[in-house]
Amino acid sequence: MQGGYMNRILRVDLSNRTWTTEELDEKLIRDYIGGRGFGAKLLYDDLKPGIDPYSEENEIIFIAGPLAATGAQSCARFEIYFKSPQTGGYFQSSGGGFFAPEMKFAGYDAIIIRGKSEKPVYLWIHDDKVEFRDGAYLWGLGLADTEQLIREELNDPYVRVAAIGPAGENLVKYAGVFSDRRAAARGGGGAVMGSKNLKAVAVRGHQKVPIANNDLFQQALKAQVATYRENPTYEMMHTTGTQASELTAVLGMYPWKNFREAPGPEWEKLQASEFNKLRVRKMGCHNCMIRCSQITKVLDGPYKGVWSEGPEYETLWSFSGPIGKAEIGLTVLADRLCDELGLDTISAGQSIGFAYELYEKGVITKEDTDGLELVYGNIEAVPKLIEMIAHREGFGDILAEGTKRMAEKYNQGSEYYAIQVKGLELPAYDPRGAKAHGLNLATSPLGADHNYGYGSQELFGVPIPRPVDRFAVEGKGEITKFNQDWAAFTETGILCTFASLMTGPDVFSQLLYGATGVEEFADPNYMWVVGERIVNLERMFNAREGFTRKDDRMPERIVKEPLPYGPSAGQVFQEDALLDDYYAARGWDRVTGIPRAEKLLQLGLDFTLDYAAQ
Amino acid sequence: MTMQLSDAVMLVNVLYFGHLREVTSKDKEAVELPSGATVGTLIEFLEDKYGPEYRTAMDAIKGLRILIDGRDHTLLGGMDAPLSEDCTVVFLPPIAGG
Repeated sequence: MQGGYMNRILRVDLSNRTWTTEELDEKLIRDYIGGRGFGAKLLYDDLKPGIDPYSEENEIIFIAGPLAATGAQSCARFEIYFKSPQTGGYFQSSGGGFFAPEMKFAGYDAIIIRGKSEKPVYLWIHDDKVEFRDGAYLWGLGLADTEQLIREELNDPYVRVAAIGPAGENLVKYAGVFSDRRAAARGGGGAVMGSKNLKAVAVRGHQKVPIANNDLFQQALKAQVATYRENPTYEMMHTTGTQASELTAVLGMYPWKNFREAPGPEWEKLQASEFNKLRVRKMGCHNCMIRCSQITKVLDGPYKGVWSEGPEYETLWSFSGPIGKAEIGLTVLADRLCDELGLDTISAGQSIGFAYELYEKGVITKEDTDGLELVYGNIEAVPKLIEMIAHREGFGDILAEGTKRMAEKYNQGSEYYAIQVKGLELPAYDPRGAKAHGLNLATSPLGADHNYGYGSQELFGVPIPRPVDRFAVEGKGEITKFNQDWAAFTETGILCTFASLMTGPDVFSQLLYGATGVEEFADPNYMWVVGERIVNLERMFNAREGFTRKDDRMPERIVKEPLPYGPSAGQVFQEDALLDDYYAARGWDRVTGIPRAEKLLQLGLDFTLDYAAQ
Repeated sequence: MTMQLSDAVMLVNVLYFGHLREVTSKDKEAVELPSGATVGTLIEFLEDKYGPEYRTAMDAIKGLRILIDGRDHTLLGGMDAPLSEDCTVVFLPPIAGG
């Protein structure tokens, strides 16, 4: 048998409190490799179309990749797969930390959970045993308390816990799943767990991950470390972290006041150099020398004494850009609150920012907001709003639905400036200034998820496969296909997105080949095909749910309203031309945006043909 | 040095990050260059102003990007990329995040 895998999937049914295990299928390994490949295939096979994301039939699947706990760098992320209550479609979300290696130590490549527990429960998975433990006393607690109490109850400080906070319990549409302050935050996986009365999954194991060919693997690992050391991005992330406000500001892509503007000089208060002054400790995930995370503590001002692990770029933007105010202490506090209550910072910040614009336009008033004055510049309300969202208290109950549903509720033309795709709020790069990055946000089956296909050429100047002009439209379909297939390729081993910028396809293929012993994986060309297969399968999951080109729509503001000033001034997102180019590059039907039968057959996805473009 | 390209002059905004801030002791400034100046002209000017340390520091930043009004200079002609009145040139060390 191959190495890398533990060769075992755990299936849990919360409704009748049963569990079974099954071996990995050889064909599943060869066709999908692992990680996101497994997640996409298992979810497609297991879920019937049209199910309610909160029904017992929905699943939440935890995946550890074949390179987790092998010694390979930056491959310790866990991923969760589910039908999203936020988008109604396929979803996968990824978090760092130590949970995935512990899954492997316990002997599992995947944990598939369905059904619904009658009462709050948590799962205790330790080596060959699975227990359904009382979770009632944990219900209502924040993440830190939940993890600590579980470790105390199990009398083992090394237990790893993936849990939800009050936001997940209260079915906030963008509640995440958290482990050691690292979040698989987007898409509402936490709400799916909450709907199942599942507070947490705790794992501990004592097995060793086998390596198929240790000489080859060690050689590849040395090469990976060498590529890190040679790459200037490594030094930057290692010393500074992942705060990129300098970059987006000088590109004119730091969205301000709900994507109406580029920021003025205020952004300078949120430069990495300012956060570095607050850093008290560096942190990292299992087996990752980058150690990009950091503990930040506010030194003075109204938020003095507040600390968090972070904020990373998306979060520092989410609590500055959407509300049009750069207060570093607030970004730290908001990050901490979201980590504790179990919220996706991007959707939380965007929902609050959307409310500020609704308030400015008079669509909502103090009567709607429980007396809070959501006037730009007034940031005191923000921590209170985060608490209200997590507990669905008052106006927070409406914010908890996200911008798409808020716009549906309030109407009055507000859909125009609800900054979301498929119900998922846009992240912190204005797509008008980077067309391939925007094209990824528009076409991702997850909605506006940046990690689905980072436009690294446009944003970071990475000249692979070629340098590109970020404002150009022509050729961006091909670039977006490249970026999305690359992300899927590297997520088969759940290589961190940041690390994928440093680890090239050759080294990554060798790592997988050395660890697993599967000869096909030594060929990067094979891996590119698997990446494309995964993207097409995910697309077909959504096609089965009725998604078409009409769902690949950017917010109207992004399409119609040029950025008023700054280095991206005058730019809009040329949606129709970009989508046409993308579908052509993909070999998908231009009218529906759905893969054609010949493409699906070419990729071995014949089991999806019923939903192919006609 | 080819500073005297024209009698006419223009103002160019320059932004510094990282080590270049230490060398220049500032994070931004406006410099006066002859009309028709290029990125190469600007760098020569900065070497003159701050000494050879500027070039040394610049060369030491692996992956340094030079942006002209938000666009990579490599796509605009490299060192020959033209500058214009009131444009902004950014010397940006590698930054990635999310």
